Amino acid sequence: MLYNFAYRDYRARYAQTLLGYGWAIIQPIMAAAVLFFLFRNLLKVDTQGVAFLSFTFSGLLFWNYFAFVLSQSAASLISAQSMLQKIYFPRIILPLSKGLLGLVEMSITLVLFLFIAFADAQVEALGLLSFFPLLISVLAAAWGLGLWLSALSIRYRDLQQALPFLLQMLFFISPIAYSPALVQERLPESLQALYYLNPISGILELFRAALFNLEYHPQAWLSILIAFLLFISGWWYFHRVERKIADLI
Amino acid sequence: MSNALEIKGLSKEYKLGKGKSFFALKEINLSLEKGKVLGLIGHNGAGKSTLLKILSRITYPSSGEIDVYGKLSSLLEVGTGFHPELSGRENIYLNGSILGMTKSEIKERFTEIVAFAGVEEFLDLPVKRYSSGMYVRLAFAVAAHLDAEVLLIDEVLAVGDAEFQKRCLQRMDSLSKEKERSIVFVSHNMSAIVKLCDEVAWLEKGQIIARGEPQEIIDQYLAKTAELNRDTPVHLRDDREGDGRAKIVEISMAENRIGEFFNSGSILNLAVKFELSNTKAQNFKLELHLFNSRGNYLSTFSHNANLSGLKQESWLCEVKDLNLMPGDFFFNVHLYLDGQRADFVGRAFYFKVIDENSEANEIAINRQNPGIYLQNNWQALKS
Repeated sequence: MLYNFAYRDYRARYAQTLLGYGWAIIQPIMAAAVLFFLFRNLLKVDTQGVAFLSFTFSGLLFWNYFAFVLSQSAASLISAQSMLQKIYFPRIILPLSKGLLGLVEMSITLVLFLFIAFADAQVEALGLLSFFPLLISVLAAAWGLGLWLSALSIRYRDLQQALPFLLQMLFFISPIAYSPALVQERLPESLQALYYLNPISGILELFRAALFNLEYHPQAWLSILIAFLLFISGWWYFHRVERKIADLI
Repeated sequence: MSNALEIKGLSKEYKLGKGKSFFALKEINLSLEKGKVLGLIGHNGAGKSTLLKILSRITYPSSGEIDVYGKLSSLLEVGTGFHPELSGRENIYLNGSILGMTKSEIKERFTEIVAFAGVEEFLDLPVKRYSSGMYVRLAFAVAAHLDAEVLLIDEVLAVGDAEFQKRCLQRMDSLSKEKERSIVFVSHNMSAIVKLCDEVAWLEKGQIIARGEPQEIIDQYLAKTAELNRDTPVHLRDDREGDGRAKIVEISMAENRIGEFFNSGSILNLAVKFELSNTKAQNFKLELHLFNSRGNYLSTFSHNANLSGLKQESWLCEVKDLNLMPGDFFFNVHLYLDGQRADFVGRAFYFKVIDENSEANEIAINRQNPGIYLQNNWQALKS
């Protein structure tokens, strides 16, 4: 059923589009181009000694997936209102199916990323294996927040307004196109761990450490823990309100 | 005989804020035997849909208990869960899965579903290109092939053409008789209820006020409805029958009236208005059936013409020398578009006939079953 829901969205997403999957390639390339100009040419930021494009793409790869799953799952209940009031099915399928849907574009971006990374930077092939557990962590974080937001937005529609803003903030405080050191240098020692409360920070740092053979802060593991805590708490909260969904939405 | 469904002390309370609350259902007790069909009737807002929603787990009761023996599936609105961009084939699989069928179950019944809906040639077309009739047929076909012990069906017969409605009824009938499936059926279509149901429960204000043999309960229900509707303006009536392509919104006496009174023997001018909703129909036929207060049929005034293409049609019916005896009368209004009934309102317009001859009025009050004056001349026959 999870697959069927994802398939439904997938077909709808690409129906009657001119470029179809092309969007999965164009979007990250355009984003990378803008970031290249902004962060490399104008601001000349440090990227831990890794070629800028590879570095940024490794960030966008996870970030785009995270942002997609989060925004889609957060809106999933509200956009399926009529179905929720007419048919019974386990409600949690709706937000969860978005994780599957996001894999389509993520895989295309992944292929693109591999081309760039192997052409442009020193890559540890074995380090690539870390991609899968880290992707699951990103998914856990996106699902977790998505479950919270979708369940909360039944009562508080404001969250629908706040989410794009939240994502934008998160994009800029996450080390996607710049080295995490840039932020950490400005934080006092005692607050270093705070930086990793953002699951994206630690996950990106761990991925790049494995892939480009870099140093990482042991506190980065905190991000993984946060990701799974978000997922477990989101799951718990969703089930708590599940019975009231049709009445409140 | 064992039960398929048992409902005990079921209540649903909605909080309205400020400590107030509203019971959509109150202490419902019902049971349904295996292989039987239970009809639910009641006015809009009586709690029928809430009850079906609770049974299908869309919403949850505030108190009470439900025991379902076997799998339960519901069809609360045909086509929910269909995605317009997906092909008929894909939607069958998708919808079947949402409604609780496994992939192999759907595969097994696929040809049967397609044949029932009659959409063989259009299987790979996105359903947004389907005609509304095809869309509804396909949606019902999927639901009608659910392999559940208990089926909940809400007002599906309000859609589709007469031929398809008949097939739906047959399908439901054979599901219950041959396959021992139990069905809870909600409808405003009383003739469908009588045909299909073994038993009827009448819900009013969240409670079951009568239960028993279908025709008996429906008679009670209709009598009550007529009484309630006497003062409801036509456009507010919700107990109509038809396919919804048009709605009769007004019927009134245009002139010659003293309050709601009509002077016997004068000209009756009746204004009838109806609104059309997105229909391609070419022509219409209006029928006004005249009854006296006892419900005895007296006459029909009908008219057909081509539709003007406007959203609203207004017509005036003039009846010359309407020689009714003093008393109460009413009209049932039927509206057909292209030969198919689009709307019907029973007892849509009441009026009281009086006679200038006050003696006749008195006789009429005593008679209570008024008829028609016809001109008659008498002469003595020579033997």
